[in-house]
Amino acid sequence: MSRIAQCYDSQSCIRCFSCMVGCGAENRVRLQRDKKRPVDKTVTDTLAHLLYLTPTVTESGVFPDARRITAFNHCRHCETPQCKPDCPVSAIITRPGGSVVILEEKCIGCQTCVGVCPFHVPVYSKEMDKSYKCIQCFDRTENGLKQACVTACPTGALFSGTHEEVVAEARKRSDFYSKSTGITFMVYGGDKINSVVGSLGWMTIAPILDATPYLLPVNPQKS
Amino acid sequence: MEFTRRDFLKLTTTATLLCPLSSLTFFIKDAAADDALLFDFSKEKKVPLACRMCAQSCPLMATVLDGRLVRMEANPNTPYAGACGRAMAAVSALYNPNRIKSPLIRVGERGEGKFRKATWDEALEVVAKKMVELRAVGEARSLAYLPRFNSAPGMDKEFFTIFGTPNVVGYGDSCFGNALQVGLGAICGGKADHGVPSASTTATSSDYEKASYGLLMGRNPGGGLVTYTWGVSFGRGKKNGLKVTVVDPRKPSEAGENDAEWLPIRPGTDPAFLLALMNIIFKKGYYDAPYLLKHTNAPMLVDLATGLPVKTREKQDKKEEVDYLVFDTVKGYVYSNETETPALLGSYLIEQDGGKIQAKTSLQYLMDESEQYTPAWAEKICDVPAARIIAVAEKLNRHKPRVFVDRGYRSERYASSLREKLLISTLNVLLGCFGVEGGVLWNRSASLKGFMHVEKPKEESIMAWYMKNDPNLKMASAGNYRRTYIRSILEGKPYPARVAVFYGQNIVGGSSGGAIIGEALKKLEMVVAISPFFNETTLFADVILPDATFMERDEAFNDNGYKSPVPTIGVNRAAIAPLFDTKNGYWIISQLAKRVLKPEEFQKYFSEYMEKGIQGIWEKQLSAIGGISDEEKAGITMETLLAKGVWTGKKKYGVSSKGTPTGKLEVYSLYMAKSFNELKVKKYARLDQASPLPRWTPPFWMEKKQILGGNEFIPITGFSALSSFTGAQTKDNLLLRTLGNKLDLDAVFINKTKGRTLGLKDGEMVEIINPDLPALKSTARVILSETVHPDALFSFYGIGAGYFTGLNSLLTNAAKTGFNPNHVSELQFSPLTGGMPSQDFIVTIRKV
Repeated sequence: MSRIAQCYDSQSCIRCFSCMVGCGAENRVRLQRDKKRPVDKTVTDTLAHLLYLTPTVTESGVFPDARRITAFNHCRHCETPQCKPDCPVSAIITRPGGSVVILEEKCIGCQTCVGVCPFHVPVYSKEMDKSYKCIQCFDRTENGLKQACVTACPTGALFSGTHEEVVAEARKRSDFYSKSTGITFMVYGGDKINSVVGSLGWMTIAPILDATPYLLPVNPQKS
Repeated sequence: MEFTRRDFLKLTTTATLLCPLSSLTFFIKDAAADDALLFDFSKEKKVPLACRMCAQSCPLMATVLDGRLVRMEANPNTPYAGACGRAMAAVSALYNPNRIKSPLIRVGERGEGKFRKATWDEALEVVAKKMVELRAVGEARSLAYLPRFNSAPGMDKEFFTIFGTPNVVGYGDSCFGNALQVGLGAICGGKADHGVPSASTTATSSDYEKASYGLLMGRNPGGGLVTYTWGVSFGRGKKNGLKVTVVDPRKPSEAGENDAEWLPIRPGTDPAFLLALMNIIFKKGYYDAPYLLKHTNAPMLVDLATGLPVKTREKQDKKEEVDYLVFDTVKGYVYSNETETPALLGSYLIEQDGGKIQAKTSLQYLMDESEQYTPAWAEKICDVPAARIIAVAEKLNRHKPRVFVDRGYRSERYASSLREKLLISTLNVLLGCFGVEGGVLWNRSASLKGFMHVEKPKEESIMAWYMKNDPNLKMASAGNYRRTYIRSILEGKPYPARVAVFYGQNIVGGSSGGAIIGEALKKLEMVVAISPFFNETTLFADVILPDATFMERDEAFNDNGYKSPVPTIGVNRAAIAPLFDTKNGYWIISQLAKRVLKPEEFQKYFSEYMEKGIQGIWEKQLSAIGGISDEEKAGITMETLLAKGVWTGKKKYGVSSKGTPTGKLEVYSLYMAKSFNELKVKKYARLDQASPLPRWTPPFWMEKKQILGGNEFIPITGFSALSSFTGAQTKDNLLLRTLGNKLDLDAVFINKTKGRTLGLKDGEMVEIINPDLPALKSTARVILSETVHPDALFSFYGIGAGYFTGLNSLLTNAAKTGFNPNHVSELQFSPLTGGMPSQDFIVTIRKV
């Protein structure tokens, strides 16, 4: 299996949050499929730790030249995941397509990954005494399906494929947006960002100037 | 690694015993394992649905696994496949334990929300007995049937019509009625409804995906409803380089956060902005002259004394249309079909019947009358800098005809809403973008044969009477009058109202004057609510009948609910059987019919359904298909419809009107001109509202106060993609609320500087009061934001608990605080349209 990737295009996104609700719903399907608890018993619980994709809103500027930016919080599926080598019980693995996954059964809730992640992604659940983050729907992708968030997106603002395909499409879009808007866009994570994280399995198309509110650090470091 | 399916099952069974219930265990042991193949997706069954999380019926595909509905996806078999967050959360509405699980009968006072369980037999009998009594004394008309999220399409309205009431009362006066319908219908044409040209919500689409530039007002395509097709098309547009300017008191992130231009406008003053745009379009000659010549009545000579065409005559080929006099430099005054080069502009003194008539071409008249509305004038009213208005006009000109001024959707917000919508239609015509690729296009739809053909009762509806007797309802929708129905209860006219049956319609929470409406309902002899969820209106019900959600029922094919350039037929199948003691709508209506109608009536109208069930409805529907080409018809069969779960046809561009008096797009509306004259005779007080000319009419709040005080706000609302109307399918939905909490969806948003001046801090609780109805208090968390105009208090529609906190114990997932302007407003009516000026009042806030 070649390396897979997905990309969030902040320009064609209509902020409908279908992706995020779809993520929470898919994790409930998994609970039912794994015979833990049927869906009808899980949609009555927030299961906040199983929301792998969440919004962070930052407001900038002063009225009337103000705006809000909604960043997407999620695992970047780094080429060189910093969480993986530091996990004391080897609970973090990389799937054949490059998806970085925390094995819940092995996780001992030590929160090392929470501490080292350059993007501050894994969430520790006190209730479960385990850490959680996006698994890039490897169960779906390895069965020929798209990720739940990508499937949910009505506008193609989230798209996926092989790493090569996604980088090519993302560059095409980014170059076009730079031309059409006069604002310089980037494909964050398409190329190697630095030697710490490498390139990413989840890229973002966003204006370079808005890197900070979109939570895209120029030089991410192990915390 | 050897890992068999048996091992997997063994492992998961063990896991059930060992793991906490909500943990998510992966049994993957190492990275090299290909054991993901153990996930057997082939066990998933797909069922087509037409989504009712809001009202748009977007085509979905549900996944059923082990007898449960587990997942929603867009139905891929359309050219605009897409579903929003609401749809993704449908599963959480379906299995919500707060649903109404059995029929209920009221035990407390109306409004208290205290009920006891009842059997279906008992509950149906109570309703049927009352209906039979009314019919026996010839008072069927005193029952009003108010549908919205009705689950028996093709049968419910028909049943109440057979019963004998002329009062099948639509909700649209709280949404699109009638500013949106007349605002397009008067200019571009629309079906005459009691003489009012009505172009419905589904009439047009902005061609977002092909447009270069557009203006969004009163609508955001991401948060607002209609993912199929508007949300999808808008996203494609952004990907294709569509630029937008958003004119809104609040900056909606849904329109784009990177490059969308935001012009904050004072609430309710959109027409001033639009008038200034028109002023510039004329002054700089930005209108599309060849387009106006070919497709519009711009050259029509208008008599300045009467406001009507100088002369008209019946068209030879189309008797229902009139031809009009124009001026041709070679031929002189001729009828428009006698020349291809009439003058677009000019003032004339025409000799006729011995007298002289002062006349102008329509376009000249519009141009002259718009002169007064300069950008500098508009700036003072709407607070958008003149230079920015001019810049917008320049952009529209540069990108035309691939431009749009978005028509919007939920129009009933201000007394000035009708003027806003008329101006939007006129601008789209002046720019030559109406009907053109990248502009605004007529939607297409297929029409299927109705399941039942029923005779309309001879008696007059409440609304027909009011429209005859109140000039303020001159342009109202005859079928959408739920708030005029309340007026009828309060005034006792034209005849006493005794019973109201609400079918998925939340009049108390969803229309302005909510608290007053609740009190009015207490005057009725019986209130019945059919609904899967509690809402404000159910609190006032004597009998509640819980119908199944859209996921638990087969429905008639959906042929007219789509806001789509491609004609669409939706399919809704039961993904699972009805939960709890709920019933599908067809069962409820046919059971009522059995008890209420005479045996021969029941036999006549219902035997086909009793014999064949839903199949009978579908067969009847497909027996006659209209509105589409023969080639398209040939592609529709029962088998393909059910297999694909949807049918779609082709998108078509083309400039045309739909039934204007002249057959042309009317930049000068003959309907408005005639209405103006009629209202003048009746000495109607707000004549400018009916003018065919550009006219500024202020919102109600501005008639009271030109400038707001330091603690005064206009309560504006907008849709979030994580909520819809006031129904609990979204309001009480845990999946939506979990995310909504991260986005402060239950808060009210005010301008940061103004908030600080009031001594408020971000996140504090405030009390919101309408000073005219001070007893109706609401509390909400306040967010201080730079993205809100100082005159506005913004809240997301349909989320806050508002005044009716009695629902909090019934809707345990919903926000416990928050604001709903509907609850605390007066029962005001917009001039001419009978609509609701839902945001057109002043509120104050104070720290709790």
